[in-house]
Order: sequence, then structure tokens, then C-alpha cells
Amino acid sequence: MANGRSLRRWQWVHTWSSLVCTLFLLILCITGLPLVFHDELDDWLHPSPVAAGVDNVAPEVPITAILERAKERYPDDGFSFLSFPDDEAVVTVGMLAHQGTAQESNHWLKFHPVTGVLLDDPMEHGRRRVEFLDVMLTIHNSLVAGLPGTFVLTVMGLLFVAALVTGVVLYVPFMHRLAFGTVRMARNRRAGWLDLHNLLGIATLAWMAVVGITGVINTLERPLFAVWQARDLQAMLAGTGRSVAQGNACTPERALAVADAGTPAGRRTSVLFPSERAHHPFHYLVWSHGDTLVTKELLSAVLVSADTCTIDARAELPWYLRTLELSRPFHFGNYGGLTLKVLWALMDLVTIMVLVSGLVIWIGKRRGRKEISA
Amino acid sequence: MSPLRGGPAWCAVTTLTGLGVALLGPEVLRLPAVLLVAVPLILIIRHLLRRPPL
Repeated sequence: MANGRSLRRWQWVHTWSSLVCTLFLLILCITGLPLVFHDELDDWLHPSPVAAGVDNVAPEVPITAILERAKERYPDDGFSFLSFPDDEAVVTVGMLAHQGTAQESNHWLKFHPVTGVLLDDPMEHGRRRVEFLDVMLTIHNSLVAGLPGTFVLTVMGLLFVAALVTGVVLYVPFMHRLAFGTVRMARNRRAGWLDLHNLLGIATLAWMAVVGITGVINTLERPLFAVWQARDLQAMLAGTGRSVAQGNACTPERALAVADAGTPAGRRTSVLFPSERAHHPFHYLVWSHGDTLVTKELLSAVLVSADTCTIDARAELPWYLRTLELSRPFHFGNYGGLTLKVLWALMDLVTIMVLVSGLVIWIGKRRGRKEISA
Repeated sequence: MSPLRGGPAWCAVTTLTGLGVALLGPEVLRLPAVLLVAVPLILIIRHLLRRPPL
């Protein structure tokens, strides 16, 4: 068992690692709550254009026709991606405004997969429409501060993990003479809050650790993909260069057909158009995944030449991106139906209680010390 | 006996088993595995509703 001095050290680390990240974790827990039910809320706010409850329809309209409609609406903008989401019966076209300039920005349009009719364009008067779930997601992902905000959340996540580890170390001596689950709220309020903090914290420790660690991994998504693009993707395309970037002979429609024929086991999810910035200036990057619960998370890609319409390379993702992909369901809790989502929300509420009870204990201790010194 | 035995250990084992089996296990086990994740919540409610010791 830890002696008095080392116990005080663990307590200091636990107090300050949790205090520093408490506000951020409260923000994450509160914004995470509606995000647990993202699909349900989104279905309610934007019902499927094809049929109630239908989330996945293969496009029946030629992709070229959809792209032409997008171009008619934004003649000056370039294409950045096409996506065929699993959870929404639409074809999304990503476009780039002010391409190649400092003001370059992304926007998207959604089209009906069967009729090709424009369903949604969130750009209103040149500015993107603000939606509740998007706001929640932006706060949850980056505190509305872009990549620096995401890195702040990485640090806060690591502090949270430190708080969990030190919390377990402290749980042992504090609960040595008490039975599991004892809450002495009626006898002594301060001890009661500590007991409540201990009970809620230790019972949900495994869930908090899983969600905390996978959350930290998820914050690294952008830098990890950037590393892969700059290193592995470039190496894969080293021998397949082309002299001209303009005047692609292979249309997106043909590139998709070639990619589909080359990956019969996969379901295509998105296509990134040739991009200098993303290190595939002469190739379409076509992403696909499997059909099972696990393989749905594991993406694979083929690089289709925009010049010759042939598959020039197949991208197998490295271990760090596989780890990232597998960490997603463990963070989102979206693989066990509504039952798991409800449990996720309840665990989230318990985590809020753990944070609040921790703050109450700290404030109570400070007050106690002030009273003694007075 | 270590205070980490009993309730805390059960909570951790059921949560991790439930989360892992629900994702990686066969489909027939998905619902039982998801229900295992509820064990810590059930234990919390049980202990909070219990009469305090005299």
C-alpha cells in the first residue's frame, strides 16, 4: 500500500490532472450526448428522400449528370469529392470555392440517388447554414478552433486518462475499510460526495477509459491521415507520375466503374478527385469498405489514373490508421443498436456526475482549509 | 481483500467483454453483449437505492 507521502503525490496528480480537464470534459460530455443519437436526430430532422428508414441506395442517375447539375449551380468551383454515405440515401458532391487561393473553402451539395434532384445546399448567401448537430460536432471535435482546438482536446484526453489511473491508485486506500458502493451521504455530506465520486468513478472506469483513450486517438485523425498521404501515398505513386494535371481523360464515372470492378468485395463509399495538396495530383482516390460490423470500419483504397483510367495502386492502410478506424466504434458506441446508444448516453451522464462530484469535493476541501486557517 | 475485487472488477470485466463481443463477436451474441455493458449502471442504481448502513 502507498505510504503517506506517495499517497499525497498521487492525490496531487489526480486533483490537478482532473481539475485542468474538467471544464473541457464537461463540454465534451454535454456535446457528446446529442451526438450519440446523431443518426436518429438526423433522420428526424432530414427524413430519407427515397423512403422512410431507407439509408443506403446505389445511385441510379449517371454521376456525370449529377456533377453537371452541381457545376451549373457553382460554375466557378472545382470538385473535391463524391460520397455515398452508408447512413443516408444521398449522393454528396464536395466542391472547392476559390480553388488554389488563400480563400479556398469546401462546401457540398446533396442529390437524390434515384432522380438526381438537388436535395440540399447548405450555402445561403455565400455562407454555410448553421445546424444544431454540426455545431455540436464542431465543438466536440475541435472546440470551434480547428486543428489547434483538436490538439488541446488531445492533451485534455491524456490528462483524463492520467486522472483515471491515479483515481484507481487512490481508490484502494480510500475504500480499504468500506464495502463497495457505500455512500455515507446521510451521515456526512463531504464523505458522501467522496463516496459517490468513488462509486460512480470505479463502476464506469472501464467505459470512461475506453471512450477516453479512443477519443484521444480520434483527435489525431487529421495529422495521421496527412502523414499517410505525404509518406505512403506519395511512395505508392512514385512510379506513376504524369506530365500534365489538366484535361483528365478519365471521367469520374469511368474511374468509379474501374474501381468497382477492381474491388468486387468492397462497397465504395467516396471518391477524392485528383489533388496536388492531398498528394495524388493525377489520380482518383476511391475508398471502399466491407459489409460486416468490423470490416465496415476498415477502409481500403484504389488509385485510378485520371489519364488512363487504370488502377495504378491499391492502398493498404498502415497500423496506425487501422487503430484509428477500429477506435471509432468504441468511441461513438454506434454498433449495438439503440440499446447501446441509450447505455452510452447514461454512461455519459454518470461521467458528468463524476466530474461534478469531483469539483464539489475539491471546493469543499478548499473551504475546509480556509476555515481552519481562519 | 483488495477493494478493487468484487464490484469494481465485475464492472470492468462486464463492460470490456460486452463492448468487445458486441463489435467483434458473432451477431447472435450482440444483444447479450450489449446488455453486459449495463451491469455497472445496474450496480450503481442498486447501491444508491440501498438503505445506508446504520
